[in-house]
Amino acid sequence: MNAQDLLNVVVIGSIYTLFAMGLTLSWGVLNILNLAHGAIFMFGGLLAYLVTQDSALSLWIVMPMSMVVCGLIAVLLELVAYRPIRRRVADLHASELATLIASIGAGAMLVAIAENVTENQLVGINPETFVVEQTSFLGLRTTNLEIVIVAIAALLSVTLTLFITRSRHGRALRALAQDPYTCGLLGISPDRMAAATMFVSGALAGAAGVLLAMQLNTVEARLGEPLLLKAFAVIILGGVGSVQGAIAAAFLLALAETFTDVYASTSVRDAVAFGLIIVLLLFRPQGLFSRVAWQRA
Amino acid sequence: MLSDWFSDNETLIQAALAGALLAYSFQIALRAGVFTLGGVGFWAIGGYTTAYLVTEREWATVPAIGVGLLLSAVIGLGLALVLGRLRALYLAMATVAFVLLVQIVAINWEDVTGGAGGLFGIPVTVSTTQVFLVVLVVSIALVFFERGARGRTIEAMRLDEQLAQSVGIDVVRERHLIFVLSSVLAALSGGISAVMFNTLAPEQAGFHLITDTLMMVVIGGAAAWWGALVGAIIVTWLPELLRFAEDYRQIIEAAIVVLVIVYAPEGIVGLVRRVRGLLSGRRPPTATPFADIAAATSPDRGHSQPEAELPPAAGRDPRPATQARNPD
Amino acid sequence: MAALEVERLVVRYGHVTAVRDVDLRLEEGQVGVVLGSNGAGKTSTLNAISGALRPAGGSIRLEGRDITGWPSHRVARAGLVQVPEGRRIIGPLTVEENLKLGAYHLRSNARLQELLADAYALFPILEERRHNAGGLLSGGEQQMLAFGRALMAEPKVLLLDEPSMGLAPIMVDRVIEAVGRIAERGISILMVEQNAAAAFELAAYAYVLEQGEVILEGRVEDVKNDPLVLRAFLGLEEAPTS
Ligand SMILES: Nc1ncnc2c1ncn2[C@@H]1O[C@H](COP(=O)(O)OP(=O)(O)OP(=O)(O)O)[C@@H](O)[C@H]1O
Ligand SMILES: [Mg+2]
Repeated sequence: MNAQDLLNVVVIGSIYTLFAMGLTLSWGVLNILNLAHGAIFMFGGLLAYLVTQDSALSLWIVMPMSMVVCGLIAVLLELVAYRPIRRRVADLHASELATLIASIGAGAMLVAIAENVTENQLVGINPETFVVEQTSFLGLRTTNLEIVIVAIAALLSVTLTLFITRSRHGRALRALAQDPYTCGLLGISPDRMAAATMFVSGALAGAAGVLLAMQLNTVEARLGEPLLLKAFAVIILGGVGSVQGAIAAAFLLALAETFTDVYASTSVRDAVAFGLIIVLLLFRPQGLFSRVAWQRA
Repeated sequence: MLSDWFSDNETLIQAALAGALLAYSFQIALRAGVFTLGGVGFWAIGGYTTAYLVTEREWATVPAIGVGLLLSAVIGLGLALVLGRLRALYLAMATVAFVLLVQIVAINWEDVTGGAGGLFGIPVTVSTTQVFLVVLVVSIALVFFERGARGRTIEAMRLDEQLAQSVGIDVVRERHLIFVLSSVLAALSGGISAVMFNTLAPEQAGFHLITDTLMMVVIGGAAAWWGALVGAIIVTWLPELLRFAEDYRQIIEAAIVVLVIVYAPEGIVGLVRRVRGLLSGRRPPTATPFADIAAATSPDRGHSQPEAELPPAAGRDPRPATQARNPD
Repeated sequence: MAALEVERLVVRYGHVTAVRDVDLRLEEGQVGVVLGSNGAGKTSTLNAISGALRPAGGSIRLEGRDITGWPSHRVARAGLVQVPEGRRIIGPLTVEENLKLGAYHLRSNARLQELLADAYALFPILEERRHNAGGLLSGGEQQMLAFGRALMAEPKVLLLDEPSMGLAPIMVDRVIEAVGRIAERGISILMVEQNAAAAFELAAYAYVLEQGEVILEGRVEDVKNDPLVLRAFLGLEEAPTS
């Protein structure tokens, strides 16, 4: 592995981070393993394609817009599906599983909508949204887009970490993950916090979707699928609900994948995440970094 | 007349039969509270084993499928030993990882699996009638299973594992058994599919087969064996039924899954039981993994970790199980 | 006007009625105590008052305002805060974070610091442990933390569910004394307590709940000498078989 590969790791790790942070948040706080997350992520890219179809818009307009819409989609899922399930099902496991299945259905719905919109074609965001140029960074080949991706990932992960560790809402979120009943008694509305969590989670997915679609120069309905299981590996590795854990694990997974890519083959690379999931669940189900969700956050 | 309908719809009938076997595999695990989605991996293992033995080794169909079942039973037991202690979401996702690993093996082991393109021209050696008989036999076996002592055992396990343990059920052993049984049923579905449809490709054994099969179990209902069968028939015919919706068909299909799991989690079985209950004036029991099964003992919510190291907040969740929870 | 008035409260779990037509009244600045054996419906009553459960019937008024059926977070904002059975400290959060959780409604940092200083003044042990994980405190310390956390929400009425449960006798005294200090601030307190003797030192009024119904109520001086209370809660004779 050379320095160029490491740069690659940083870029891929940044995308994984953006994708996994939202997923670990909804799982850790609300016990929602949102398998529609990949579809919401894809929608971020799709929206960017749709609004730039006729006329180019700046990335700095397109991305926040996608974030807001994706956040709202996630909130919608919470309102029409996840919340009713939580209300009805008292048993935690039963409710988690029903939620999981609902999220699979919801994701399939979003994918089907996207297939309709794109007519099953590969589409691309208007390249004028962000003009990609080759540059070099510390003597390594890269693009201005890659630098933007890494910077945005860094910015959003620091913001989210600070939000969770320092703000009163972040404190409430961590408490909600442990004990919604007591939160209610202290004047915190679990429902409102849940909606807010889903919004943040969706918005992060939206940002990641726009950025990956730009980087790959394509959007397609199944853009999010491969990332979903990888994100699961990242979350297990980092500890469910731990944002810092997810960040560290995202880069670790990117490193492991690039490593197998370089020293073994690309086909083995895809197996890394899945193998990792099984091995980790066996030996350290609480994650490599945190002992218990939220304990370190 | 009937035979016309039969020949016009033969592929759908075959798909529904194969689907029913796979749905049984999912359902039997769910009903025991074992949320494994690994069935699709065993579907692939059964399928490829059968296809390989029949095509390359020119074996007869029955022993070929038999080897597939045996192999799946062994791997299923291995998986049960390895992943057995995982619960709920963790088990679900670990078994999804297993399915995708099997898929990657299928893509890369070209000598046996034909690689990403898959296998073509597998000899078609079973008739629809034969498959129908197999499904019939399996269904009857499931009826006996459901009615028998073991049926009550797995019911107890799903409702309350600790309680089941305390009344002398060897939960670990039963879970392993369920794992193996579920794997074998899935492999049967895969093996039959291979020699019924004459092609087999890795992309068939991916996430969307998990989705489709879950859809069957959810729509049909998991509380009785026939829920899987009805679900398989409905899901197989759904594209036909929704033909009028044209481009919106898949959106509607997915929406149905969401609506059912959120608002009618007991599926068709629940519906039928409710109607029957109304007619006889009795309240039907709830018995679906997705419905509210823990009316009496609602555990603390919010502890998603399999092994939380901190002491959980003492006391049971004081929120009522069956009373409506307060809205925001 | 009473601080809290509960009329004909009914709580059901499915087909089981846990609380039946319970009337309670708590005067401003008063301490009331609810006695009852296990499963009598004490926690259910408190949960219904604080909005954690939706009552199946009856009405609840907080300082004259009808709060029946409100969700718990709204009830808390309106000034009624429940300290739950078993304390329910958020284990992974530090002591200080747990306290700040109670002040979730506050946007102003200045007021937050004031309340925090106040809580530390009331329970100095919390200040010593401010950076420890809440889950690592002893039972008695956790109870102080639960009190402190509830006070951070600036309540007018506090509901305490068995604050002395599972504590060593010496800690029980401390907890009761802490309740006394809270009461001195003019906060009205409705307390469920198994330790009747201790509770009677603070309380002015008492209710006895049995199988979801109030079977006895009155001023503490009177209730104290009731043969039923003497036998069942003050341990002066064998418990009755009901
Ligand atoms: N979530 C629940 N679901 C069903 N029944 C419940 C639930 N919570 C309590 N009950 C029942 O309601 C009745 C009253 O329970 P509650 O917890 O209010 O009693 P309690 O007086 O607080 O008892 P304890 O002294 O043990 O705390 C009991 O019979 C109990 O079994
Ligand atoms: Mg109680």
